[in-house]
Amino acid sequence: MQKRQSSNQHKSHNDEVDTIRRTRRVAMSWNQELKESALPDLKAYVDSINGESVSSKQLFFLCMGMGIQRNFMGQVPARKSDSVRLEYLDEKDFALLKTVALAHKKDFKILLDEDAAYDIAEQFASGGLQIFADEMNNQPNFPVWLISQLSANLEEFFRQN
Amino acid sequence: MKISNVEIRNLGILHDIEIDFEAKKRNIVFLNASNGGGKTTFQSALAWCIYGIKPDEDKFLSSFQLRKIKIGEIVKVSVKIVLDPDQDGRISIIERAQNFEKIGNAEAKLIGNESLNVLQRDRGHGALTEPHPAPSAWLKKYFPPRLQGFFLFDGEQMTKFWEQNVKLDIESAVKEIARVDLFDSIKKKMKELEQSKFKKISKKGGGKAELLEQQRQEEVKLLEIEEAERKQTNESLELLREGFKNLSRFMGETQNHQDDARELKNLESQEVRLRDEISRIKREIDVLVFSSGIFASLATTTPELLAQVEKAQQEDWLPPPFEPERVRSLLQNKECICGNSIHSGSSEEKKLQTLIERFQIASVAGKELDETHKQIKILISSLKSDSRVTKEKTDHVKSLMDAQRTVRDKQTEILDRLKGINANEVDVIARNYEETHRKILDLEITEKSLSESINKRLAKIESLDSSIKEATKNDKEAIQLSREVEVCKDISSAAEKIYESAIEQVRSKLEKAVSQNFDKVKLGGFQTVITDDFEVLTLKDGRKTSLSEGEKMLKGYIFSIALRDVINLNLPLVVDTPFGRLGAGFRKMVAEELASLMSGGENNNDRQLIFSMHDLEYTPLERKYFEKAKPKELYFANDAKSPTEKSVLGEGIDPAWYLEGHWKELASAKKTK
Repeated sequence: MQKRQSSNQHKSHNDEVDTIRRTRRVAMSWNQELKESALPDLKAYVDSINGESVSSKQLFFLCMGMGIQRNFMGQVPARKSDSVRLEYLDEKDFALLKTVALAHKKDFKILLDEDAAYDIAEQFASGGLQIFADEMNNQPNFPVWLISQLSANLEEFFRQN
Repeated sequence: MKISNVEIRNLGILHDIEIDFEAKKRNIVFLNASNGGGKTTFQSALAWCIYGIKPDEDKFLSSFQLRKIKIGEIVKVSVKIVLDPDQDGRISIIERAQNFEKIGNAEAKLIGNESLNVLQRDRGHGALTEPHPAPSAWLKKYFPPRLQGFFLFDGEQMTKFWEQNVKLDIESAVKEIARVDLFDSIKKKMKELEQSKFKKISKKGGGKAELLEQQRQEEVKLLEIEEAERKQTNESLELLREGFKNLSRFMGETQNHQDDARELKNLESQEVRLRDEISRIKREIDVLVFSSGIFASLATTTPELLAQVEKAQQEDWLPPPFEPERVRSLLQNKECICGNSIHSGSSEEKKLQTLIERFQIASVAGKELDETHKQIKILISSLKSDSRVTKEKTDHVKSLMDAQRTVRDKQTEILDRLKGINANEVDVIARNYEETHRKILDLEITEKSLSESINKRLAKIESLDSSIKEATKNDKEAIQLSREVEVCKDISSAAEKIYESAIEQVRSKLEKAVSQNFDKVKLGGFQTVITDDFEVLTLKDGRKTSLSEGEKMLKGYIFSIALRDVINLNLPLVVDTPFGRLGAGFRKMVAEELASLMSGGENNNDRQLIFSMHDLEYTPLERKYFEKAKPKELYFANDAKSPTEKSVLGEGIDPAWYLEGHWKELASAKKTK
């Protein structure tokens, strides 16, 4: 951070660009093992609920939501960039990723480092996928269970807002 | 007419048989035999003697007799039937014979033509008449070949009786026996005569009259077509009205059920509609819950965002506190915001520089936070909207499910009321009722329009007749011809009326007789209808219904006996294996009904039933069913010395039958007693 500050001093006219550490990644990443073992099944289930094929973005946010719900972060060892591509995310999606990081770090300065924020989001998504992998084995009717979970989320949101 | 005696000589296995049916005392005779005993030979003997149907070549000449005679010797095969009384109340003797010559050890050939003789005598006087000059014609008169099926039955085929095309046979038989063909023929001849006389009249009147006659002929032709159409329409109308009557009765009886059936149908469609609607909305909710639920789960993170925003606001980081560029420019010019100069390198300048750096970072982070906050606010607002829509849809589904529950409760309630009733059938009949009603209305309109057209045409023909007469009024011969035409018209009209009335009488009597007897065995509102062209239908609620094998068989017997009564068809009923493959239940029904038809009533003494049964068909049980009718029991049994070539006749039950099966049980029971 200090090093970057001096760099900022040096380039004192480029205030904002130099102040936020922008990411160079092109996509988010999954946990490799889970991606292979659980993600196809999860997608098939979710497709059946949705009535049509769900996007990588929806799957990533679904898993991230579950990770947040259970406050469970998983491992994302290497940047494989094998999940949703950033170009498919809109402002609201980025805002959500950042809010997740913010909620976890409880310090808005996390917003100054995009990679750090996105790493947190990836870890929650990985955690969520792990939870879904377990539930797919345990729940007798996973789609019904999933829709009831999402429905409960929505009801809770409706109650609070 | 009864068969009192039959003599069979050298016919198949029946080598030398004389049967006395005790016709004066008995109406029912059982001529039983085990398989190969001679039952079928007896039937073929009757068929040959009466209808001239030759037995199969290998079953014609008795092999027993053939073996006894020498090559070159002649042997006579004959069947003699004595009818007492015959159709005219006299005694008739029919004898048919055929000679054979033995030409090899087991070979014979026909010699000459078969002979047929019919002799008659009055019952009171003994003298026989001379042989009838035209015995074949005599036989055809009293035993019309097309009625053979109502005289000699094969029980095995009886169940198919109604499947065969018996309609035309019945129609022609009825017309022939009721002697109504004559009137139809008179009517036709008189019409032809009328036309030819009119032609002659018109010729007398010259060109104009001939032209009028041509017009008249055309009108007459059209009239005939329209009358035929009207007749057909009326027949259809009558059938439909008959059916409609039954449907109306059914509708009256089942009014409540019909309402229930209709309501049930409505509820079924309502239920389907509700189910589809619920399913559709649930699907929509699922999709909505899926997309919104994901973000709702992330919404748990927003309180921290709000906390961070609040903190940033408190620390003056939000909204971004100032513009670092402007401060930096002031600093470069060594000027303070307050207007005082700032010395370069001074501690104030350094402090200010650090402050600017810090605020610069804070400002960027604040902007990022602010932007994030704005986006999340939009997202939450959209989520709120989605959440509201989901709730509304969920509430709607709940109300639809309540409605569905109410519909299902109503369905259960109605189904309870309709227990044991086929709601679909009730509904189909209700529709049939409406359809029949509509058809009747249509046909009534057609009939009305045809009648109007016929009346107009009749008036036109009458007017043409008058014009022709007017044109020929001075011609004496034409006047005479006109009188003759009037006579032809009167005769033709009278013959037509007699014909129609006779046919109608026969038809309705037959219908009544069959219905009455069939009603006793087929309960449940069935109705026998004999159409104008003598199709025999069994209707249930105005619609054709199918009968079981046993019911068809019984209906065949009942119809056959009714035909004897109604059109005075005095043929005995001779049946080989009468119960065919009927089960025990139907045997009882058929046997009791036949016994009742043969023994009951005052005028049944002319009826005769001859049944040929085997040991599995005629058991002590069947004997019991016929007990009241006091049948005569006879049997054919294979001769002890030549069992395959010759059968002998005995009275009662074949003693061999007592050695096994039901008859053995009966014999044992008697011994024990």
